[in-house]
Amino acid sequence: MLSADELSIHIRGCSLNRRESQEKIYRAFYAYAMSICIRYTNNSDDATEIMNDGFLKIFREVHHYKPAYADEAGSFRGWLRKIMVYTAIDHYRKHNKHKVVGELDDTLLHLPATGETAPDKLAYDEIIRLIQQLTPGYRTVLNLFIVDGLSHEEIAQQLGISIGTSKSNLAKARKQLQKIVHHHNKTAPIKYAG
Amino acid sequence: MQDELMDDMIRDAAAQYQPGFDEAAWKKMQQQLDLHLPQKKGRKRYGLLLLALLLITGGAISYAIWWRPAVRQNDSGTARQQTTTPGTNAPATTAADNTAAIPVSPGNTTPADIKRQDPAGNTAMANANTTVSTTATAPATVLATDDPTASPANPGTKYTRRRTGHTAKRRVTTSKAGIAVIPAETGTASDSTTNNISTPTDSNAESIAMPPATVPVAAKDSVGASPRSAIAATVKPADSTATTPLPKNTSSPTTRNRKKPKGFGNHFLLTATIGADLSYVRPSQPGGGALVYGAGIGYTIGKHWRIGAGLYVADKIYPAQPGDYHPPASFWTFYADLDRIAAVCRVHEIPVTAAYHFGIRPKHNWFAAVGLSSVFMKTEDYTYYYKLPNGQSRAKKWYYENEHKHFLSTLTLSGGYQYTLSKHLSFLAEPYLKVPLKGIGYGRIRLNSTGFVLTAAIRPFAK
Repeated sequence: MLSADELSIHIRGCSLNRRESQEKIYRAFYAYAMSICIRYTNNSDDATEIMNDGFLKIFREVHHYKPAYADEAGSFRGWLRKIMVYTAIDHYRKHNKHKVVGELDDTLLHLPATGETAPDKLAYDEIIRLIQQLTPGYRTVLNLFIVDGLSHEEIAQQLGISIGTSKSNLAKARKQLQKIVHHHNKTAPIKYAG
Repeated sequence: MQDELMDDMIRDAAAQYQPGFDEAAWKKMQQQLDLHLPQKKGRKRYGLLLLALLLITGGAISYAIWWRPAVRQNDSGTARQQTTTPGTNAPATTAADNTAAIPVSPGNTTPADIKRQDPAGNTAMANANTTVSTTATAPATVLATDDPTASPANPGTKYTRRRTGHTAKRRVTTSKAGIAVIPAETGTASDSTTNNISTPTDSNAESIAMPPATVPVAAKDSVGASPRSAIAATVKPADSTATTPLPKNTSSPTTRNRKKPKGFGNHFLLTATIGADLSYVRPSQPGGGALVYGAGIGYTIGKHWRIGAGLYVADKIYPAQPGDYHPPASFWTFYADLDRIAAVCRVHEIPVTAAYHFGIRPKHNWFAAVGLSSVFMKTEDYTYYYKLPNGQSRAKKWYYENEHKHFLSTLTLSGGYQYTLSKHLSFLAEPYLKVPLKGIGYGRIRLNSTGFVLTAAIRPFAK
């Protein structure tokens, strides 16, 4: 990981389009960026494509980057995360234009618990893999709402759907994920998180 | 509750998931970067400039080594013509030996006689102990022309003269009139004829190829009797041990020694420079002193002018105020409340200068010079002192390497004193002032410099 000073130097290097600095930043934030992008796709190739598109945006716009607070590294991570998420949304829009996500009734938003999820028994990478198995619409809403903290209004705005659709997709995504986890626990040996 | 549990699980997984680095991903990224954010080609220009400088330097050195003045080429050309003389002239010379006369020209009605004091009587081989001078007894007027036909095919007037030297190095002198005087082809015969003359040859006789003369010229060998007026050409062998002085008529076209024309080597010089440099943006805030050193090439034009170029390395240490600093606009988003800048930069300067020398004395002179320099920022180390919005002071360092190049960005004014130690070596003491024509570095600083340098100028090819 880069120190704050190194990060500053390489951000400046990126603003001057220095390839060495771009590579340093890329390598330093690869894992973080990939962990974001991989959740929005069902394969690593698409995730890499989203991530590289995101880094390209970063390198193009880095001269506009302004640290929001004293912790420059944290500030940069936040900025990078935001760009990656929006790049993933762009990717979703581009490739899922014609997949209509239906609206659910409010009743479906309160699904009964199955009692068989055992999420704590799953390793992190397994959970990510299970999320990847969701359909694109559900996966995107689930990630945006649960992990990246967008509200339903924001999600609706970003994805071009109604707020109700966003909510129903989230409920469906949860339900689908529970089923996937349940199925996974039945077929796979138990692993422990962490 | 179940949803919350699952949400936490998902968040934890997202936060903890750390995929390993994939080199293939970076390669794809590089391709995208090359496509959308290609690198600048600035280094190529720098490389080309250096290449051009190297080519010029190499060419100049090669030129200095292999170049011969045009006059010399003519001389050697004449000599080449005359080198054929001994062989082809042999019969004529032999005839002259036999008859003690040399035909002045094919069309001569009266052949010129060359009388010799030759103990052997049948050869032009000189007795080494005999001192002979060529004398024309006839009141002849020899027309000296550049006619190259005074050659085997058209031998023209030929004067032969015995050699007194032991070895005859080949030597050609050419008069202004173009008369070539060629010493004997070889000196061994001369040596051998000191006691024994066995082969009739004029190989050790000096030949003066003369244009066809319309007036008979009689020449005789007589010791110490050479009326100057009658002799158009007088030859002094290169290694002559003649005891008889040669005619003093050095104004004669054939005897006048030409001055060697000064060639490129006498004008070309290499320089090595070392000195101290002081940089500043504002005279009231001088920076630190630093060493400057480098090397260059030069060329003198006439007595007074000198042009030169070189590569000099210097450190520029200076403070700057925010008002002097002109970085890209985005810089100010980071350092809105910039207090000052401290810079330490290593620069390479390539100056092109012209100097005028005056007060020229054999050993010393004065000069004034003006030049334009291209500045290449090798390293730039800036420290920005600024304040955060809460008033807290901060300092941040930035470092650049080979980022900025500024062609013809500095005007150099200098003057000084030159002391000439020898024709190969001289020393120059030179205070200077460098004035910016445009800003340099990341901050486009208009940086002034002053300093003092000592230069050793070497003329490696001076003759």
